[in-house]
Amino acid sequence: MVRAMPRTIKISEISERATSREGGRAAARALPTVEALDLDLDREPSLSFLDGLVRELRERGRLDRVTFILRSDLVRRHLGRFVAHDPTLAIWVRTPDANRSRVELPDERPIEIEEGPIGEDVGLG
Amino acid sequence: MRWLMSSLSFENVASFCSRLDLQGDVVEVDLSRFDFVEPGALIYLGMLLRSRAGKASFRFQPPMNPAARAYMERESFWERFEFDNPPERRALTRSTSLGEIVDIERRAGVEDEIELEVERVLERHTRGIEIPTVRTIVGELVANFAEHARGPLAAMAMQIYPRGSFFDVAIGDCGIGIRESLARNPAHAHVISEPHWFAAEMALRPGVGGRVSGEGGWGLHSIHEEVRRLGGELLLYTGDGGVRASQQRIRRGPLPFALTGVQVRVRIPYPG
Repeated sequence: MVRAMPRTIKISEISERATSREGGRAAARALPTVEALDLDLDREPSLSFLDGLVRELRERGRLDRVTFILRSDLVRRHLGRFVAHDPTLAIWVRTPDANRSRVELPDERPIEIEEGPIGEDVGLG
Repeated sequence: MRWLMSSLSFENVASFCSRLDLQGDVVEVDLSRFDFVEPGALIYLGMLLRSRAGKASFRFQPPMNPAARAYMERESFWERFEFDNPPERRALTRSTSLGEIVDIERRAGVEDEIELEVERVLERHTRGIEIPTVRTIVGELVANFAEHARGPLAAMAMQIYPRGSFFDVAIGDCGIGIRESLARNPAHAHVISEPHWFAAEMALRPGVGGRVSGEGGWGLHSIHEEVRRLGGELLLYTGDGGVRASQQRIRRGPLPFALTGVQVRVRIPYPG
């Protein structure tokens, strides 16, 4: 399927501060309703902001119409963690000079969980 | 008598607190034998003081070691957590250059200010750190505490250890803690009957959060993954339980002391 010519919006144009989940939701609501949108994350968003942004876009059925233009690997990894948790999510990303692709899963090893006392004895000498 | 253990750290501060006699009106806190005090221990002790403000007075014996005593004074420990004179304490509430303990006030933009200060300190004193990642980790933690801390303020301290090539960021509050917070989310209501350490570990999982709306959270999960990626360690205490999350494993279990709220220490190495 051919993607319509996307309109590009910078996050700094619609959000004074890219922080907080509520801020991310508000930014998503402020985006124009268009067929294809490139959202330039020109201002480093907080993790909570991304949570709110992705959640709101998904709830509005618009997540797959948006391509996030990434400026940092951390944002890429964070978005990838959403997909690792919910493989049905389609999150599209690209760097400023590259074509878009679906965000890949972060290369993170599984972690062992063990149980036992936490902390150390202060000692009595 | 020479004490063998001379460091009061985030690892042993709960054990230290478990030996305090908290029953009386005046609690004696003898730090005289400690040659070294870590920021995480200061934050934990500070939260103990705040949680018992108005219920007990604390009588401290400061460290005999001049360097440790000077460190506590430099960090403004006594002013930050001294409740004999509350108006003065409030007057001291401000952002600083992280040369001392910082109160985390509940207001918009507090995470931006602290992130920026952390960045400045790291740029001045370290090399080879992924500063944007560290900045995001710190900002997310601060935002979490600013949002969830109830009652008295949260507080933060930071320390770089050039000889060890790592730095610590410690933040704590004496609010409702992780278990009660998660249980407000209907999806996690069952956690209220679980131990605190269970809730602490659960909070690191993806999509787990304490919002009444049922929304999950991703911040703490991503913080942990980023700390792992940087080769660091995250220690998270709440109530009488906690987790130690490192690169390979998470250890979850009981602490020897029950302190209300949440206290966390992130330790991140950097190239020496």
